[in-house]
Amino acid sequence: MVVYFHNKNIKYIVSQVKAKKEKWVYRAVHIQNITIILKQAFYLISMSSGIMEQYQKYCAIRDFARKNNIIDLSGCSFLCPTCLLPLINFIKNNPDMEYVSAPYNVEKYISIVDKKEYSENATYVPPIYLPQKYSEAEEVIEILRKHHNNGIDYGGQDAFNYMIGELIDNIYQHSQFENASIMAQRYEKLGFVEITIYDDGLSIPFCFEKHDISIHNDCQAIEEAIKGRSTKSDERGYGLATTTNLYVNGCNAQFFIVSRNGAWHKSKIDETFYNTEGLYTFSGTLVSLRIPYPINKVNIYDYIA
Amino acid sequence: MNMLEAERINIKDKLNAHLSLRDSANQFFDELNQTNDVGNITIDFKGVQSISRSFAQQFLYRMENSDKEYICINKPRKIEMMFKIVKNKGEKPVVVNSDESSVVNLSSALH
Repeated sequence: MVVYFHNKNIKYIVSQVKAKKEKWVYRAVHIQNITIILKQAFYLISMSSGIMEQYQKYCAIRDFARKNNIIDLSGCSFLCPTCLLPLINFIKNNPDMEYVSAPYNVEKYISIVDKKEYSENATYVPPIYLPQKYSEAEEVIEILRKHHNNGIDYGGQDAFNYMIGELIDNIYQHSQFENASIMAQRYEKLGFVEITIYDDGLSIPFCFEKHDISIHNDCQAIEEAIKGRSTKSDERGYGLATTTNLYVNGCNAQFFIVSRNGAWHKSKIDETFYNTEGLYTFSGTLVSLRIPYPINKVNIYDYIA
Repeated sequence: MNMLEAERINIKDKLNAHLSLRDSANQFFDELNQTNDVGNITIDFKGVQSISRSFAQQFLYRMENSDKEYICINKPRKIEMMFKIVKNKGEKPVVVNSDESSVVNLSSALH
């Protein structure tokens, strides 16, 4: 079929199509903007349930349990690895305490995560326990790599492997742990992944004390560790310093460390030390990272040199 | 093996494509030192995908402090770069900017 248009008509049709197209383009941009705004809102909401708040939640549950012999999770609505990983260890270490379940969805989540099973499409990585034998640790790290798709969306495999290697290596070098584990949860709608590493070993401040290194308080001990002061030699101590630099400045991540009576929270725009003596003390060391997800490959050599 | 013939070891096959832990470097050299070969030992990095600074530092330390002669071949660029960074012994990055006055005292806020 051949259709003939008058020149005028063609011009009119073309202008209409253009106008509609512009309208749709405008709508698409508008939707894109709303998506960005929503993502930012989600991120802000997630910040209100930030790493420190999650750690404080764990401490509150632990404190109540110690006083009342009841592990009460009935008020828990949102548990991130920073709260959940030490909590799972606390529950395991106190089997005689009465247990009050969390709300249905949270309890279901805990039971799934704690089964240590992992499926390809899961957004979580269940707690993976580090073996006492250093020589067996490589196998565990290999499992982590597999579960995290080699860190491709967490700044690339170089960054991810560097971070995992240095943080786990620190545990074996310094902590003398009985229990150490690592878990992660990816929050795709909120746009971040949280990775938490737990050990019940010596703690950073005690490690300095053990080596007769004079430190005023536990916050200073953490500060010195991040600055790269090593109990071994001056040539060492780069691991924590470079990993925090890589992830905070290279990947825009949040970094949280609590060890005995000190804690440190760092993001690109904010930094706080906490005196955690008392209710918020931690026997051992807990390290948590909140990494924007997904995040493009980072050139690690810009941050570790 | 001929005593003077160079032994060639692929580090990826012995350890992993990702070289992470300091003690893995120790383990690697402990095993090599147990061999009685007098000739050079060639360490082949073919297939290695990543390396941590800790591993690189320990690897270089053990290689420099060994009685045996080692030759490294097929080093990917990223391995070369990491070795260079370790050898340069640059300044540690400054990540902490706060001072003690910015410490939030949680211990006073609980009771």
